[in-house]
Order: sequence, then C-alpha cells, then structure tokens
Amino acid sequence: MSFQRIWRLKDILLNLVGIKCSDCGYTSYPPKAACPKCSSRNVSRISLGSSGKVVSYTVINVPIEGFENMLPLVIALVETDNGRVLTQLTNVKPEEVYIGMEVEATVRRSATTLDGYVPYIVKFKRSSTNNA
Amino acid sequence: MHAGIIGWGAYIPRYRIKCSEIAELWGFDQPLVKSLNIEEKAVANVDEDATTMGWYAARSAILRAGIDVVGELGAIFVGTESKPYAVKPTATIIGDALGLPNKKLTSDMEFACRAAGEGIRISIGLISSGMLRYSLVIGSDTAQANPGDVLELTAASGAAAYIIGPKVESTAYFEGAYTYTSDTPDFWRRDGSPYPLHGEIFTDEPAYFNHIVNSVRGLMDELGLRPDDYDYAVFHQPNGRFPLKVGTELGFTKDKILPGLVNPWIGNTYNASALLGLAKVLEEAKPGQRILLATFGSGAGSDAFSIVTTDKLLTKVNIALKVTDMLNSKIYVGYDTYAKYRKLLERM
Ligand SMILES: [Zn+2]
Repeated sequence: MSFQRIWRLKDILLNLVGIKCSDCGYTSYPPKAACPKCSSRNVSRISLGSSGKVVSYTVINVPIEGFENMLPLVIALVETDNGRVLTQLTNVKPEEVYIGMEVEATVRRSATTLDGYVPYIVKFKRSSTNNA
Repeated sequence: MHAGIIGWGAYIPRYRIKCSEIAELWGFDQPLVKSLNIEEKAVANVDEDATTMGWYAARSAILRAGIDVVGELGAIFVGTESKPYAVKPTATIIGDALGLPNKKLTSDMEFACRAAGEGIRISIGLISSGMLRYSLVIGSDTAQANPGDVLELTAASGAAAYIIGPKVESTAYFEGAYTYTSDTPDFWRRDGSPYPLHGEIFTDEPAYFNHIVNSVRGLMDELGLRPDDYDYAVFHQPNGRFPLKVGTELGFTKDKILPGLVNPWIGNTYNASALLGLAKVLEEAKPGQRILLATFGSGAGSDAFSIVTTDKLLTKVNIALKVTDMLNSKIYVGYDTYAKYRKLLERM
C-alpha cells in the first residue's frame, strides 16, 4: 500500500471505524458506502470498540515482502461488541491462540512501506488486567 | 504555580532479557553487571516503538484524568531520543490516534533523557498562565545500544505519560520546579548513527551527579524545604546504583528512594525512566504526601520538581494498568529474540 492510501485510511486503521446499517442493523468493517447485506445507503459510522473475542484465526509462515521480521503472522477474526474485524494478533505465539480468547485493541507498527513510511495500525493482543 | 497532575499512565513492554545473558555473550565481567544493580531489562516487540508505547501510556493517562479532558487538550509534547522518524513528529501520530483536537501545540522534544521533564515545566507555565487548560506530556524511548557496548546492559524500552492541568483538579500539584543545565559532553548520538557514544566514567560526577545535586538543592533552597520534608524521592535511573548514591548524597534516606526505583527490573527507559518511577510512587502514595522528582538528560541537565499529592489521588489509581502490574507481567527472551525485536539483525 502507498503511504497516501494508508493516510487516507488512517481512521479505519487506527480507530476501527466501521458502519452500522440503520435499516437492517448489520455492522461492517471496513466501512462501505452501502450496507453489504441489504444494500441500503442509510448507514452511519461507528467505532467497533476496543475489546473482543477470537472467532477464528490462521497462521502465516511464508514471508510477505516487508513482513519478514514479524513472522509468524497470526491473523484473526475478532468479534467486538459492535462487529467483526479481520486483524493481526501481536505479543502471542500461534500455539497460544485459541478460539474464544479475549483480546483487546492496541496500536502497533505494520510493515514499513517501500518509501520508508511507517504505518501505525490497530492490532489485538491478549486482554487481561495483568497483561500489558 | 497553579498546575498539577490530572492523570498518569505507564507502559512497559512484556518481554525481558536477563542482563547476565548479555554480559555472558559479550564476555563482560559478571561483577560489573552486579555493580550496575540491573537484573533484567524490558524489550519492546518488533512492532513497537516510541510512538506505540507513548500511545498506550497516554491512553491510560487520559483514562485516569477522565475522557472529558480530551476536548480541552491544548498541547502534546513527546520527549524521546528514539523517534521513529528523524524528521516527522511523533506527537502528531499519537495525537491523531488518540483523537485529540487539531487546535493544540504539538512537538517532539529532544534533550537526551530529560526532554519530557522540560515538557512538564513548559506545561506548568502554559497552564498557570491560563493559556491552555490541559497538556499531555509523554516520555517514550526504545533506547539504542551498540551490541557489546556496556550500555547494552541497561538501555531498555518503556513509556510514561502525564496529563497536566489546573491545580484545583489535580491528583498531585507542583509547588516548585528548578532546572539546571550546562554543556557537558557525557553522551551523544550524531545524525545518521544508529547508536550513541558515551564518556564512560565522565557520565557520573560531572554529568549525572553535578546536575541532579544542583537542581535538587536549588529547588529545596527556593522552597525552604529539607530532605526530611519529603516522603518519596524519585531520580532518573541510568542504572540501579546512581539514584541511591545521589539520593543519599542529597540527604534522602534509602526507604524514600526505593519505592520509585524501577530500573533494576526493566533497565533504563530514558525519557520514561524517572517518570515511570513517579507513576509507581503515585500508585502507592497517600494524599498529602510530598514527592521529589529529579530528571536527568545527558548533554546535560536536570529538572527537579516538588510535588504534593491530593485527596483525589486514590480514586485514580485502579482506573488503568499500574506500574507494578506491568513489572510483574513478563516473558523472558534470549539474546537471539532480543536482537530480532530490537533490529540488531538486518536482513539483506
Ligand atoms: Zn442493511
């Protein structure tokens, strides 16, 4: 991704802004102009919230350019109070992840772009009052 | 002075490396490690930096201050010597990620380990003069050390953040501040070089001790206070030995220094060092107690603050993660993982 595109998506990447459909109540992340379920354009922006549970996950061991030093990548579908988000889990080893694991949002670096721009994005980590 | 601390927040990364392992790898004398009084140091993950750690600490500070402060935050100052960009502010990234207003003073400050201390002094002035209501000051560093340099035994990662605001709303207020600086070449990093150089023995007497002794004595003289008037004394913590030595030299008993000494378990977190010590003390103190805070930054300078806790303190402590929670929550890594996380290994 170019730094221009990352900058335009900043709110979505950093504050988990999604949409909620006023007609059918469906929430969607990332935000779209129309509801993906009923096609209504009567949608408003909402924050997905900062905590949730792992619904499903997968592990990527094959390097994607730029992500080499972050392997293995744990990609999870996290269900928050307001919706679902596909996100990266951090501070956790693949063997420690389980479905139903409680997680919380945090801000971390993603892979530096080819221009040397550092994208900051929301990732999730294990939540516990004692886990920093 | 009409300003005080409205909220505070801390961040210590979860990973730790034993300093004895670093010493063994590079062939340091184990008694040298013992003499530094640092058991282990905090290691930031590969996706952490001064921005992400500062963001976390600042979010906790806002939670403790109360989310209402956000609308009236008129300044954000980030003290760091490990900026992710040489040119491009860290403060704007953190400000936007926290949803702070665009109308605000915003800058990164650099004075080795004491830049955040100056951020607090500037905030006290801005707030006392009525120019703005709240200011956010962050000290955050992923301290760099050349592999095999003695500095590697101490240089660590961490962050602390403070919301400074009107005295009447504060959990602890400032009753005095004194800053002492001079040109002293004890430690520096040139543009483009990844690791700092330091003057070995030169870092203690002419630098750390001279500046802290002068700022603290200057402060106590101006306020007519003596070490006996203080319940706690928190100093910048380059190693586990200097704070005890400088405190004793100034006349503070060991029991007043130990509660704010965090670096034996996390290392030197540079701009966060003394400020994490202060956060831990705020989490243990009772209302109406007096705290001495003395920062130090190479190059060199020290800010001394006299701080008095108020009855609003106790209700704030459990709102966010405490320093002790983060001291106790840790995962040990070996030198290999530490080298990968702190980017000592560069893939070609
Ligand atoms: Zn719909």
